[in-house]
Amino acid sequence: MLMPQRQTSALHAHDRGPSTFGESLTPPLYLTSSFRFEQYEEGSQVARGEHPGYVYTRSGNPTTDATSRVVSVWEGAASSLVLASGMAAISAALLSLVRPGDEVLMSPVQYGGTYAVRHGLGDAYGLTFTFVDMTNIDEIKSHISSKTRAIIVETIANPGMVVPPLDTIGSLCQERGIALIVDNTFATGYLYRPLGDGATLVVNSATKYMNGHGDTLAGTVSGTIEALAPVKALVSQMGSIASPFASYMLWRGLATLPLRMDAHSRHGLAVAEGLADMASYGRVIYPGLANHPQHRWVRDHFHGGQAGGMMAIELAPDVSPDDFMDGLELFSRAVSLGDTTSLVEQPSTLTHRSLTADESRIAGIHPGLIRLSIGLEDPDDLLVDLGQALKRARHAQ
Amino acid sequence: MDFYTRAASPSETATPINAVSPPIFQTSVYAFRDIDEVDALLGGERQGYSYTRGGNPNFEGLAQLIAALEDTEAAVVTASGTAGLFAAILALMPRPSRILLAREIYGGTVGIARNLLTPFGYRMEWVDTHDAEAMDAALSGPPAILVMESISNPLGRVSPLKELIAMAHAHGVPVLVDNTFATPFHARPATWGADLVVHSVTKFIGGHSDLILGVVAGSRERIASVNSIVDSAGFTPDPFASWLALRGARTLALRMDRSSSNALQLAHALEGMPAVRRVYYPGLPSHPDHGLAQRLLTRGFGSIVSLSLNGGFSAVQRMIQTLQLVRFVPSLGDVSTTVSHPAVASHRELSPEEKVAVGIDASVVRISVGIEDAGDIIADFRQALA
Repeated sequence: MLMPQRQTSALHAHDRGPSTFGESLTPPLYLTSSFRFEQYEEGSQVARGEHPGYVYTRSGNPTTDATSRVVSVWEGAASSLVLASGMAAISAALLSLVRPGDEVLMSPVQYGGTYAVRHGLGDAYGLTFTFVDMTNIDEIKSHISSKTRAIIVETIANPGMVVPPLDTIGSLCQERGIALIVDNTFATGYLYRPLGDGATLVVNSATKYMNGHGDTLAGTVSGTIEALAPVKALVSQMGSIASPFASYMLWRGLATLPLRMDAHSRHGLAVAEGLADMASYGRVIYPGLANHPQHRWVRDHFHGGQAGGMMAIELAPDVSPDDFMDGLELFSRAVSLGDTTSLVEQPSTLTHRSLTADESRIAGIHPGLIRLSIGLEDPDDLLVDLGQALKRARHAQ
Repeated sequence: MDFYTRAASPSETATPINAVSPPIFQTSVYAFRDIDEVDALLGGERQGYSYTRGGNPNFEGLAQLIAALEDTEAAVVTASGTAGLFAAILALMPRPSRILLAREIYGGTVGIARNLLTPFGYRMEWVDTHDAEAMDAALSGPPAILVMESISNPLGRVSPLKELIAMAHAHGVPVLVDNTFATPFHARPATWGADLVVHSVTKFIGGHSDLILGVVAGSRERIASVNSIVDSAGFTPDPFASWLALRGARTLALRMDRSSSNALQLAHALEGMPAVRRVYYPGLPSHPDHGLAQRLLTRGFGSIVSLSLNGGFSAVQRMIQTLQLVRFVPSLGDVSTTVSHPAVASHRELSPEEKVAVGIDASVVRISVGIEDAGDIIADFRQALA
């Protein structure tokens, strides 16, 4: 009996499901809203869950299921769901765990969209959110009350690149009976698997590294079959499912996930080291560098000690952020991340613009903080580009 | 406006041009403000698109990328690799002539020469690209075109391409090189003087076994000739397939790097297995063209490993039935490892005598090595050949 490695299992996960795909090497794209039954009774058995099969794409689709099995391989999960977007994944994961009046702890350094959940869904459902420094375990403990139901945290926080000790947080949550939701978007299950360290649910904006080609919106939620059941029920009612076409694109993107993450990490490290040599222009924040506060944790817990392709630069006061970004030739000025090409954005004006001035201050977000997503280009070419743009951005003043 | 008219009216939404991922122009035709505009466009005085058979931004996006990777001025995308081969041969040799086919070449290429061109007066001749004297004699005759592969299908033969191309050109013979196996990651035949380079994009460039597409690359002038054949013969690719292929090409380097390194490890492992009579991989010192391959190819030796089994055809059948992860697929270049049987599939077109001449018998299996963990691929062959 072969015991394949993760990449081997992932490349073959779609051809081992309850549904038959005939002899096609790739998972067929089932662009169908509903499924036909030979006998009516068969359909009602499937609907009652007494027989495996599909009834209606909102509650299940073979293409989406094929993709979700690959996601489960990477996250080390028993079960996964593929949804319409990363925010669909976060909202479904959160709402599956909380009840009105519950308290949720979150980091002040967090994707702006997740921040927005506090006011949108949070107010509507009567939830209270408290900001906690997730790198400080005593601070987390001090904020836990009888009402604390869940902690939401990012593996690598966006955009400040803070890496919380998820193994310690996971143990704490299990001890106290608190659910832990980890947004694994910056790392993906290839670099780090939060479920192995005690997370209840792992979410990803699959739009980013998992799909990896900047052309599809999708989100994933992974966990045990028991933890996923309420999420699945919610999604089926909210209707935030991925289209089968988006699922197919994600399946195709996932085929090269380990190759891309290795390259993003290798190039990310080379670019970060190069930027560290240009320190007079600003400070680079990258968990793969030895000077990063959580470098040791990343080295010990991430696959091969690799840190991915995301980094931030805190520009020196005499370097104009606009001129720097506009001077770049190989980087696209665009939000999102994890694309094959390199991207640059300013969190204060784009991804994190929903934060109040106070929130921004706590999160360390200011106009001089620039986020880079390092692509698959040659890192030497990227460094030449960054160097010339930094130089011109200083002279421009 | 009438309800029916509103429902059929064109979208007024502007087409954003700043999308990070290129849009798919799944349109057969373009609208114009006036007749002059179309006239200028069809007359070549203005850039643009009128009808997708004649051009489409998705074809051009892919063609530009391939031209950049192949170090050529231009490229044209075709409906399949076979359509590309056919159009390239016609563009280089539009009148009946001799088609000199390298002895070890893909059966589909033989099929084009034999079934499509011979009835029009072309004459197919086999040549041994490893015999300089015989090549000189073959090239000396009446007008001819030379068709060969940078790494041959399936036995991984590598010919002295630089010298051969120079020799062909000295005799006024244009050279078409099928670069499907090597991909521009390992070989750029245009830099050795090849007049046109062709690919089955279906394979490594697309890389995910979910499209059928070809491409021809070469000088601007040559590609204009290919383009006019593609246009009038209707060898038009699909915009969506072109878009998917471009998406595939973004990871070409990563995939080739991993799969060729996996292939080298597998080839070494197979050489040590008692059931294996011979392994054909240009990266192995035992391969007759290893030295040439080292000189010509960059960054490795490709992802195709062939082998012949001691037990002949029955051993092949047993191995294919016993493999657990590796599937039997009459194609190649997928992210996962697959095997094919040239005698029955890719080289079916060859007569029994032709198969013997090139060394493809029923005991030969072609492996297209994927990007899985190398240890898993080796373990699967080890258990299937135990």
